[in-house]
Parts: sequence; C-alpha cells; structure tokens
Amino acid sequence: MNSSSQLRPVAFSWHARLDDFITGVAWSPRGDYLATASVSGQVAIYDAVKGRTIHLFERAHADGCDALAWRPDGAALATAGRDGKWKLWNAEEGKVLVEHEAGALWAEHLAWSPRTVGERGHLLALSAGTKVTLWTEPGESAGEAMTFPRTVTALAWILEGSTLAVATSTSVSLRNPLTGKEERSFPSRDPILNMAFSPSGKWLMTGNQDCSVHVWNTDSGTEMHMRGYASKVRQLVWHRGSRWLAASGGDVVSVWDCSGRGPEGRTPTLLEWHPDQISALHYQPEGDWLASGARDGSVAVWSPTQRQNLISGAKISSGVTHVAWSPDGKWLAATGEDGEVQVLSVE
Amino acid sequence: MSSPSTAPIPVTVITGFLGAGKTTLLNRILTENHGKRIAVIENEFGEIGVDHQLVIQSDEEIFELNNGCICCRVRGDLIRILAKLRQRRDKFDVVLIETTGLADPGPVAQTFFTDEEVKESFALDGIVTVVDARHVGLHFDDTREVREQIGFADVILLNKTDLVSPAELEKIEARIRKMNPMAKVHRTENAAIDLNKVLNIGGFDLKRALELEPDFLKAAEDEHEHHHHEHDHEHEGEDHHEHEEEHDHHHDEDVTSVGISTPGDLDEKKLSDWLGTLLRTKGQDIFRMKGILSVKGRDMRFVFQGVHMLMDGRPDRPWGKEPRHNALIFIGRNLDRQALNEGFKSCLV
Repeated sequence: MNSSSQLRPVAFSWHARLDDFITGVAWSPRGDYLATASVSGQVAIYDAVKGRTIHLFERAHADGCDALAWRPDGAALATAGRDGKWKLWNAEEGKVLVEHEAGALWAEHLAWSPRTVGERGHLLALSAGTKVTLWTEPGESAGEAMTFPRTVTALAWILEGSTLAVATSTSVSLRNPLTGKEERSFPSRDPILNMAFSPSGKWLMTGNQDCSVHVWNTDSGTEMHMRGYASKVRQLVWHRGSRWLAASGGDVVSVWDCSGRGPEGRTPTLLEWHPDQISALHYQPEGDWLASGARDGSVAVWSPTQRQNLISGAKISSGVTHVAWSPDGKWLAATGEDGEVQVLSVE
Repeated sequence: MSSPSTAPIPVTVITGFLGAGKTTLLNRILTENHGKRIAVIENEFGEIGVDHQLVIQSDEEIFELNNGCICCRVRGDLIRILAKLRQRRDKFDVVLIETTGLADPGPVAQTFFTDEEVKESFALDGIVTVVDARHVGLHFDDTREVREQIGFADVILLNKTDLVSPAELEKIEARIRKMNPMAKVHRTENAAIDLNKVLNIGGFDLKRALELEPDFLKAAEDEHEHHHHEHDHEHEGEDHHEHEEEHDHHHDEDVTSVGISTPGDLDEKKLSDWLGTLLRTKGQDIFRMKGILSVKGRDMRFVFQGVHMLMDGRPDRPWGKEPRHNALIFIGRNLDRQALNEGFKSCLV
C-alpha cells in the first residue's frame, strides 16, 4: 500500500463558504471563475485565482439550486433549482438575463452542448421531472419539450455534441437535438442512477441502484454487468482518452481498463485510502489525475495507472459533495456539505 | 461526519382509496401543525389546498431489484427525493408522503428498510390508511389495493362516519379489525383527528412496540378468540351465520390476520429455522408481523417486527416477574392459519 510519507504536499489556495450543502460547482471555460451553488439557494461566482467573491446571489432559487453550467463562451451562467425555474446570469454584471419555468417542481439537470448544434449555436439541455427542454445561447426556447416515461436522472451531450443522451431509471435514450427524435435506446432492468459515455462514444456505463455497473459496447451492442459494489454506484467518470473508467462503490474507487474488448474479464485497479463512502470523483480534463472525495471530508488525488497511485491527500471540514478540476488541471475545487469551497493544488 | 449523528426524520405515509379523505387529512396536519417543519411528498395527482411551502410531487416509480421479487421492490422516486431533502441543514421535523389511491404500501415501507441512504436519515414512523366508510363496502371485495392498504396500516381512519348508519359502521369496523387487528381504528368525520394519533406513533419501532404492548397482546388474543367463535357459528349452522361465514371465508382468502398467543418457551434453533423458511416462502404474502417471544434459556423477551421478508428483531428487556408468554401476529394475503399455528407450536420446547 501507499505510504503517506511519499505523498506530495497540498497547497491550499483559497477558501470560501456558502451557508449550506454545496450542490454544484463549475469552473468557467477559460478557468478564470469558479461558480458554486447551494441547497439554500445561493449561487456565488469567485475569481479563480484569489477567491474574491465577484457575485453572490443570495436567493437565486428558492428551496435550493441544484445545477449550474457555464455557457461555452464563459459570459453567462445557467442555473436551475427547486423553485422549478432556470435562469441565465450575466457573469460580469451579475444580472439575470432570462428566467423561465422549467416545467416541473424541481429543475435538476443542465448541460450545454460542447459544440454548436447545426445553425443554432450551443444549446442548453435542461431537465425537470420527466421533461427535457432545449434553449439557445440567449436563453430562448429551442423547440418542443421531450417527455420521458420516468423522471430524468442524468443528461449528457455525446459524440462531440451531436447527440443528447438522457437517462431515466429504465433506459438511456439518445436523442437528435434538432428533431427531438430517439435515435437509439439502451434499456436496463437494473434501475439506473447515473450514466457516463466514454468520450469516444464507444462505451456507455450506468451506475445502478442494485450496486452494479452496466456496460454497453455501443459498436457491437454487447452488454455486461460488473456487480458486487459495496453500495449503489453514483459516481462514474471517464479519463479523456476513453481507456479508463473510474467508479465508486463504498469507500473504494475501482478503475477499469476499457481498451480493446473492454472491461470484461479484467480486474479493476482498486484505489483504497478513503475511510468513508466516496461521494465525488473527477478526472483532470487534460491530464491523467483522478480526484476523489468522501463523506468524512477526505480528498485524494490519484494517478491510477501508476504503481504508487496515491499522489496526495487532504481534508475539508465536512463531507465532500463535489471535486472539480480547473480546465488546465492545476487547481482542484472540493466542496462540502457544510458549504465550504476549498481550492487547492498539488505541488 | 455529517448527518448520521442526528436523529432520523420521522416519515408518515398516508394511504387510502381515491376520495377516502387523504388530502383532507394532509391539509389538517399542515394547518393544525404548530411550529413543525413539514415536507410533503405528494403523488402526481394530488392537490394540496393549503399554501404550504414544501410540497414535492412524485411519480410513484417502482424499482424492481433481484428479478422483480415483491419483497425487493422499492420506490425510486422516494429515494431520489429524500436524498435531496436530506441535504438541507435546517432539516425537516416530519415528512408526509401521500400515495395515490392505488399505491401498494409494500414498496414504500421497504424503501425505508433497504435503502442505505434513506435509512441513514429517515425512519418510517407509521402508515395511516384513510377509509371511506360510505364506499369501502363496495371496495373491500373488488379492490385489492384497498385491502392491502388496510392490511399494512398502523392507524386506520374510518372516515365519513356521518354518511353511514351506526349499524353499518359497526359492520365495517368489525371487518377492518378482522383484516388488521394490530392497527388502531379511529372513527372520523372530515378526517378530524388528534394529530398525536397519526404522527409520531412508532409503528415500526421495536422500542415503541413495548408501549403498545397491552393493545397488541389484546389484538392477538382477540383474533384468537374470534376464530373460535367462528367455529361455534359454523356448528350452530344458522342461515344468517352461514351466510356471514361464507362471506368471511371469501375474505380469508385475501387479506386477513393470524394471531397466535400461547404460553411456553421456544427452541431458538427451531424458531429461527421456521421463521426463516416462512419468510422465504411466504414473505410475499405477509404484509406486517409483530411479536413478543419467550425463548428458552433467555432471560430477555425477544421482540420483532417485519414487512414482507424484512424482519427486525432483538431481545428487549428481562421478563422479570411477568409470566413468560408468546404473542405474535401476521397480517397478509392467503395466510394459512392452521399451518402458521402448527408451525409456531412445533417450535415450542
């Protein structure tokens, strides 16, 4: 096992606090701002270098803000919350540009397309209950709502933004964002909690209520299951190269090699250091390091493919709700159940 | 660590057939409540009349696990909603869940015993079933959900009593008590009830099972008695009784209860084998069970309660001067009274 004496020290860069559980954190596309949201309904935008508060919206969403996402130009931030609304904020002036009803009591998930969709620019996908709606960069409606038979639990743009993937407990549905039509569906008998497509689009993984990971090879259509996790699998993240998938179950992170024929028959690398249930995972957008956080507040940075895979460890003041690398991978934001926002780097 | 140190938030489930008065009861709790922070999880067809801050709509999503075994069904919508509610620091004092008229209370209850995250922050306090006294006579026989909701209940509000005759009311209540002698039945008009009778009742709490003990024992004994009476009637052979008997019999094939009350000590191994087999083979049909047992060689009383295959049991306190005795009750569907009695008695030393 790793001996902690070999761990690299952590430099705590800055720290801030919202007044309750942090439900979302997002670095701006250029890495110059960090935005966070809390269950009390606060949304804050910080200067990424010094942590100075640029804007603090005390009641961005009554009863809590659940999601936030920077528009790809970095000039606006979209937020959604338990008031059933979504809002688009001008990041510089801190003003609400538009505000819309999302179509259900809770607006839960947001995702901007990474590329422009046809001639419509970047589109924002928003889910509220069983409905998914699309919105343009200025925040106008971009078509009819798509309705699903169950509550939407995850949203993602895949295949370079050409397709929208929508997960409910019973399936992952691939939709054409221009027509809303279903192009493909991956039904599951195990109730789906979360999904992760490999950046290559070849692999679809879902984390499930029955403590398993369900794997689809979207090229061949074959499926497999990885069972025996110590808890339901909520966190699933891909390495940018589409080779490694990290999944958490209980207090262990398992990293699967998905090269070639995929993870079947292979043994995952187990990352064991956290003393409590893992609650957050994130791979560096441009690098190879994996960050993890657990409910006791422990935060770890791993290089999973190396023998000495634990690089560094730290602790924040309450259970970790998110870990998020800055776009350049230099900074890691870790957020807590008590509202703490801690930005750190590994030396 | 965050939430584990704090006491779980009690959850009350309100069930009942369409139009029975669930929403009236819910509104009553919300308006009469003084100072309690209440979150309401309401079915998608629900309509809350009062201006209450935290109402979340749910879409009754059943998660089937282990190939759809009835005992492994949980409510995905509740898991999702409760996970979000527990994030708040200013936690709620009470969560109320109003189900649809056709909801099966089984998956709702099982959610609170099987999902680790839910268990950590919430505890099922009780299932309150509102029954429409005027129409339930029609639904007893043709609506499975009405029988299930009565069978699962800790508290039953026999509502709209102003719309039926006292004789009719007696008949309905007798029938309800036969299906579920464990539940407390309250007669109400417009669901008017002292909130202490529906909230914080500890229906699934083993510690609290003790507080209810006299009633509970009485329920098991009454049930026992009742059964003997039936036999008497049968032998008497009067027309009127035969008719009733037939009616009851039809009913016995569906939701009913079996109470066992007997002195004597139990053989621990035999008891454990018998209960294990019973739950494995008949767990699907057992809605609720509760009991106090006298196990040979043990100074402590053994108390247990369960839903379907899930059972929670432990020694609670020494028998002391109290006479050692066994009292248990099963409520469920198609229960085999004779087999349960014989099976249990075969565990006696």
